[in-house]
Amino acid sequence: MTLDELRKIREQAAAALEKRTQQANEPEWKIVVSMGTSGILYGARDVLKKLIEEVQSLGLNVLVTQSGSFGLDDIEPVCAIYHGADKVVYGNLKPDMIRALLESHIVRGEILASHRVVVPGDVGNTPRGAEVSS
Amino acid sequence: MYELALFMLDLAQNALTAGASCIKIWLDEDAARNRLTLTVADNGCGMAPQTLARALDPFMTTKSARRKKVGLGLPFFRHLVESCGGALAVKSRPGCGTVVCGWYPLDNIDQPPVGAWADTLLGLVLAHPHVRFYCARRRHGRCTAFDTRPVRAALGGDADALWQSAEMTAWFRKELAAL
Repeated sequence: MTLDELRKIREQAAAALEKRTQQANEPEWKIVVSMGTSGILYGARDVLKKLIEEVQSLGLNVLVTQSGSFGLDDIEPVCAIYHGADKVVYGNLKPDMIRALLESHIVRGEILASHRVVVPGDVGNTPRGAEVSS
Repeated sequence: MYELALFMLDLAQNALTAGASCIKIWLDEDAARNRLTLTVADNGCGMAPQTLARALDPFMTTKSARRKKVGLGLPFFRHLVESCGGALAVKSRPGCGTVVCGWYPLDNIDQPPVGAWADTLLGLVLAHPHVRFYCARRRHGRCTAFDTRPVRAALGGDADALWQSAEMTAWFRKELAAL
């Protein structure tokens, strides 16, 4: 039964988890991918997959999840990056630009202006990642 | 949409939007009966008969109030199964959940490929640690199933912290690829 492998994963991860719980319990960042019908048609599934892979590869404390359509059907695939109360929306995403997006927004704390979408409710917000990582 | 997996993703997203905590997905390729059946069942908020009637009509759903919006996913799926010579059935009860079931004959030339089935399920499972996914598949007469409930139980209190880790992603990928 492969559930034994899960127990092994849990034991092996115990040390790393302890280290992480000392730092922060909850993931600091949350990324939500719009997964409505038009998002799916324009490749949101592959964007979500790439986000999960790149978050792991960069070792970021980010929760990646998905939601229904944001209503921004003309610029799909779309994702929103949350940091506390701050929210920044990015549109026209492609899987091959996800790493650059994460490195810019989360690692360096700089908004990737070329793909940013300003929607009501997030105007003026800036990512607060730079001081955390430096 | 060009993959059956994308239709499944759309139906699962409808279930998530309906607030489901348990989603069951069956893909049955029954060669003996010459029939492919895709079923997505959820325990979300369900739909009243009048909402259900609207959900199947693309012209009604796109223009209706956003709060009640179900989306084009269901009409698209109905179009797919009907253009492949099959049919769609939707059962729903408010407060209980919804079951969407579509089938078409396996020997029709219009059907899309199943596509990246395991990858699509992987995205759903990873993105929703608190939703139970049960996925079953039958092909070439062999039945396989994957359930996230025993996974959460085995991980215990560490489930949330471990769910999107590289180790768990690799494990999920391996298990789902066996479907």
